[in-house]
Amino acid sequence: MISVHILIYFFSSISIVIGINPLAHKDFFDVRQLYSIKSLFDAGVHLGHKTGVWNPLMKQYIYGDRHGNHIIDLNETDRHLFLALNVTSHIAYRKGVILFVCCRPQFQHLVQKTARECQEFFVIQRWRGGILTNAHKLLPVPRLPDLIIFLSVPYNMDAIRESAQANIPSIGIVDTDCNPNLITYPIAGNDDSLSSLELYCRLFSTAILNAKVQRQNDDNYTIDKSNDGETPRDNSRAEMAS
Amino acid sequence: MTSLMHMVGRRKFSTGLPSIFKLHRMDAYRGIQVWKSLVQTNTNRLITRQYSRLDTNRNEQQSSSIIPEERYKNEIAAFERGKRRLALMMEKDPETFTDQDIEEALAYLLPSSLFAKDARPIMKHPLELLPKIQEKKIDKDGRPFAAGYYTGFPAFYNTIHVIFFIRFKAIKYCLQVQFGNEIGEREELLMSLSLGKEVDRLADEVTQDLAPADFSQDNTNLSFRWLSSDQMKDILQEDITDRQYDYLIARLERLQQFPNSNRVKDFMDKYRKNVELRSTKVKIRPLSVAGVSYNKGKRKTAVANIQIQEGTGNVTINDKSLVEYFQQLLHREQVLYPLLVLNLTHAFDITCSVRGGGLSGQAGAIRLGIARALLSFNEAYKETLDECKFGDKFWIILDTDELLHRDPRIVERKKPGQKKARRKFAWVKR
Repeated sequence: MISVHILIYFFSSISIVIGINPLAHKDFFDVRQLYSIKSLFDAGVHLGHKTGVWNPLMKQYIYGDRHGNHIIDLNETDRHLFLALNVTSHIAYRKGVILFVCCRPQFQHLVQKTARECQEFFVIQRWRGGILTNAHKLLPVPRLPDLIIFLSVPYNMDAIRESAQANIPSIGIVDTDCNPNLITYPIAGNDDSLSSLELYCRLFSTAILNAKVQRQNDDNYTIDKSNDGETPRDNSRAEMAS
Repeated sequence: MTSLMHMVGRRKFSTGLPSIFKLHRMDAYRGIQVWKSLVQTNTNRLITRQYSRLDTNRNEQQSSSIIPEERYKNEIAAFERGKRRLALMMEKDPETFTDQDIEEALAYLLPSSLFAKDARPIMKHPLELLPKIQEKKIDKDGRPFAAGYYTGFPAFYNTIHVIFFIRFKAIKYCLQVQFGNEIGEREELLMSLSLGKEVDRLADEVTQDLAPADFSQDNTNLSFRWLSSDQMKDILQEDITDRQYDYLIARLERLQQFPNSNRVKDFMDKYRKNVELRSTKVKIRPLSVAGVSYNKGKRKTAVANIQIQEGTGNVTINDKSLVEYFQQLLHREQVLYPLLVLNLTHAFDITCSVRGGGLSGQAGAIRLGIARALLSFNEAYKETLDECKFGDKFWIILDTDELLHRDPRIVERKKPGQKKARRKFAWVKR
């Protein structure tokens, strides 16, 4: 135990407080619990575009085609979605700025609502070119986001390019006609239907809110501990890690 | 600054100047020292730039002083000292030394041969000169306050969001009434997004049954106008584009069409202003003792004097009958239009004298006179006459909007070098 604690000391200051290093844990925020492959299927995430409009770069995520439509491999989607949700949670846990981008008119209210729900940020309607690469001119205070979630990739290629230039990690829902190359965490899935968009929004907002609650608890715990060292605490997470 | 000092020195001590300069050299020098920091050549921009650079540091250091007077305390004190010293140098009373005096003093003490006015030395109150303190945009964790921070128009999107939510809640309410059970917000959102117009229609029907009283508030004499683009910019404090303005207005209009939108009147009133209908401004002349209404109407250059009394529908124009005077059906229709609208063609006798203008102008003038005169008999005609919108049948009357409105259009003047107002002379190049 002592050696573990010494190791942890080097990882981060938070780790001392809660007894484990969140980054060392595979699924610190339980994002696996948020969805199942069945729920993805029910939301129609597996439905791709017509085979004619595909982007060959998406080949690795495609399961096959049926009646002229590509079907996305939900095992792949599951793997990538998990990664993305995990990263989102970690960034939210560290009070990072998360930006939702979706410039499709039919989803703008949904996205704005999601971003406001989890107290994060949004860009709808129009991406102002240079907001990341020319931030000191375009923003009152040049504070760049720490993670950008693209919910309509084909509509925001310029924004994706910019985030790649500015070295900001990005998550993107890539349909079978999208180019996943510039996106840090691509998630293969349907990006045209309301049901699937709604699913992504719910997943991301829940992940963010959970991470924030977690952070709040840990902060409170720190304060309690500094007040009196013998405050009892539920150590289930610490046990899980060890 | 040193060059300025040289300039002052050369001018001050070589030529004839107020005795104070000779007597108190050191005083004069100190005075300049004090406001040296505030007087700069080509300064407006320089100072702004310097301070805006400092501003980020200042924000962190003294976060409490958002009040400009507090923030620029030292600068203001320095300015006051400098002003006092300057007044003494100019042998004036420091208490009554105005900004005008400062300008004159500077022009005298630091004469500048530079042409550009903004490049000459200035000395102004720090609050005028220094950058305005803006509200803080990010919190202590470095996270922006506004959810729409990266859109560049947070206030605009806040408004859009509020409008969306009002409609959203209304629809939710309607659906609950319709289906009689509690609906989760998320399901509701989905329904409102996917059903679209269908939900609107549903909501219309439901709420109409529920609360008809809410439709007719006592604003019968009031119509309204949305705020202009510039006014909207002032309210939002954002330089929204024309497209965004149109979008916002479209949202507001849609909200307004929604049944029971009067319930959110307070919210809507922020973005519109009430305008009185023209009919409220119309002066109604009382009937004469004999029961005759005298009135005047004008159109183009025609002027018509009207007498109306109750009768059987005789119309006399300049001692001729209507049919005799106006050959064209169009003109006859014009004259009788107010009566046609009110269905009173056979209820009044009309006598009028009209002069000036052509036939259509005269017809229009008589129409206006009759419409006005009818009000003397019954004020309730006002609404019908004012709000009367014209259909395809009376296409010519579409020219003017309302029957009680004097058509303000007159003939455009002829231009020199042209044949008429717009018509050019015929010419061939060579």
